[in-house]
Amino acid sequence: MSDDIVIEVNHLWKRYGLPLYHWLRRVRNRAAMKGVGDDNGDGVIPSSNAIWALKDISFSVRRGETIGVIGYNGAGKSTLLKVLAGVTPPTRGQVMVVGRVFPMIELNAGVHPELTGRENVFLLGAIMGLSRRDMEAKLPEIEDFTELGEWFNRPIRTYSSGMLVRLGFSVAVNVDADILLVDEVLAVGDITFQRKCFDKFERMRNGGKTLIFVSHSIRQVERLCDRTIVLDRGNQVAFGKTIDSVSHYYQSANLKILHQRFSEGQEIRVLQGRMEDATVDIVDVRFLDAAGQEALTFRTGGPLTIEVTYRSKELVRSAIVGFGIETIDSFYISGFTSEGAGFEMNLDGEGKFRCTIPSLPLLSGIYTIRMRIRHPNGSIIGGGYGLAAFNVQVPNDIRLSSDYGVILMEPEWEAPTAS
Amino acid sequence: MELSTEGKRILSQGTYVHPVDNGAEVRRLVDLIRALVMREWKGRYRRSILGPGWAIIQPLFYMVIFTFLRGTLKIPSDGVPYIIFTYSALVPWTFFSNATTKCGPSVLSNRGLVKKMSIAREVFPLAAVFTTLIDFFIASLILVGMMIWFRVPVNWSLLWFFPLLLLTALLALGVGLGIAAVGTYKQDITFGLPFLMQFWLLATPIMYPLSQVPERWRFLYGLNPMVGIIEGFRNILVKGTPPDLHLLLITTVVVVVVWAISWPFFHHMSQYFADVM
Repeated sequence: MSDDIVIEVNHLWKRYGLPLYHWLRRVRNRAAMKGVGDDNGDGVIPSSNAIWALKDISFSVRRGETIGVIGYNGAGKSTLLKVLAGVTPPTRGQVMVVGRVFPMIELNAGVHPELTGRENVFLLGAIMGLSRRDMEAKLPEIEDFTELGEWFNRPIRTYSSGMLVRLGFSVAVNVDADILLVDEVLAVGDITFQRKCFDKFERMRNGGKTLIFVSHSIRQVERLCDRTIVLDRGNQVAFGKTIDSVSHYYQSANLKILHQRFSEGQEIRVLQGRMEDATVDIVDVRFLDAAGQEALTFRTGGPLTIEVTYRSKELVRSAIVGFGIETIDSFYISGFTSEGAGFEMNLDGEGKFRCTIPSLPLLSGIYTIRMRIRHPNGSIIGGGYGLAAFNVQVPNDIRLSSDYGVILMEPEWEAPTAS
Repeated sequence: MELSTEGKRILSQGTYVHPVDNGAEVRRLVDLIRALVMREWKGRYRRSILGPGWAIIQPLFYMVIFTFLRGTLKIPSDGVPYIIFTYSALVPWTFFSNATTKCGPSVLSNRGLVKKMSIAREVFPLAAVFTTLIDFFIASLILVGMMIWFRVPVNWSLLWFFPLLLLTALLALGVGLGIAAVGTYKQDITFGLPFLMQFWLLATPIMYPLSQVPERWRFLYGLNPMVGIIEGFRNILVKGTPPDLHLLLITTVVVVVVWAISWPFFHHMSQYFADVM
């Protein structure tokens, strides 16, 4: 093993629970089924009823790298962190971790509600592995960081959740570890807290620390991680440069969306997030390409047509239709309405209308549509969010400074002139 | 940082190797146990009026009941005042009983820590025993008062106090590790333990003297490790005589046997604690 490798995972399999229990079940099943089944006896190949949280994971991490872990819910991301932290043992395979590990998860684990902030800070210090001398030296700094003021000497059962978050985090930033395991920690806390988290990670990265970063936010992973592992139901489906892994993840997400769209045949789909009991019911939302064919993948700079099938309970004259485009993590990018379209949007009975964006200014990623139909008197009479999703790919002839981002900018340069 | 060469092996089939600085790790464990004991000790009584007084009330309560029972059952007390006769046994018994009982749920109640830290899970039962030890010292204050009041002869045999206390703590922790190992998976043993403790109380010479036990049962009776401990405490605290070394030897052997079974068992089971939380 090279000196530079701090984490080495070699054919890791993980199944939760006591091995004895699984062994007993296997013996019982074998007796009942007389050898029928796909278990080959040594348990390496999972039997159909065994639940493996991780299957045959192998990777290694060099000192100073930031590694992202992404995947759908239940993909095994948190399990992988637990195994790396040494909290739960691997069922098969080898895991080697060199250096002090700090799991940045559940930072407030172990606090006592009746104790004051100050007492709990000392407790958290001991839990996170800070010596008492360290704690006494750093206490003023920690107290300052929590921004709790006089609340610092009150029982923490009286704290708001935001105050609690600051308590745990203020101690955690003082921990000096070689490897940091982060699990969705940025999901909590307000914007200044998230800012502080990012600053802490940046400092640690610059200080040559190793970070393992589990997140649902692809954007955060893209921003922070050098390399990324993609997990899917316990399988390691990709491990490489973040750009490659993320695009792999997008592709699989895309397949999932396609699958959802066509698996239900030609039947009318129930649109997710559709407004209930609306005057104007949204029956279907589809995307059409330049040829007018239904498509899911569009090119940056190319046309995109949205086709909406509606069913109106009554005649609505001069309705105003508004569209919004969002990323899959619900970041609102932009919107536009039918006001000033040059015709009256009269909706009655069943019908369709289309809206075309001639030159799509979006970069690679998956985007969803939200929609709102308003009566001229201002009341909302239909719409919904997350109605449909489309995928965007950047064509090769567009040059970007970086491989991620949302909006296409088309600058015009001027050559340097001597003054 | 000095690394131990073989590192820390947690597993039989899969392996997790994480070389640690042993000195730093021990210091960490000591700090953590101290912090956990402080948390329990400070947190537990903060919402009570009597506070640490509850440490005294429990043995005192039993003492009152036993004193009433004695009036009807005509229980002898080896010629010493019955109050101190029974209280001197109840204080170490309460320590043993509470420490053992607290070990059972000690891991489960710290599930947040178990799920995120890889420290030795033994710290949780250990912290439970240490916390109960503070109660023991508070209850002992009353005992000292009684010894002065009843003019108990004080001599060198009192030096046995700490070896006896250590033996009690080791027995409580030994039994407690076994209880915690099972109780973390299925809690039945934790729920049932208080009943078992009532039975154990009656099978130990606390409300009656050892001399009341029929001679032919004496050997079997002595296999109860608490017999040697309680008799020992009573000898040094009330009678001013050293403990019965024969009985203590049996107790020591039982403690060793209990540890030889429960510790490896706990250690094995503890690897998977985080899996069931």
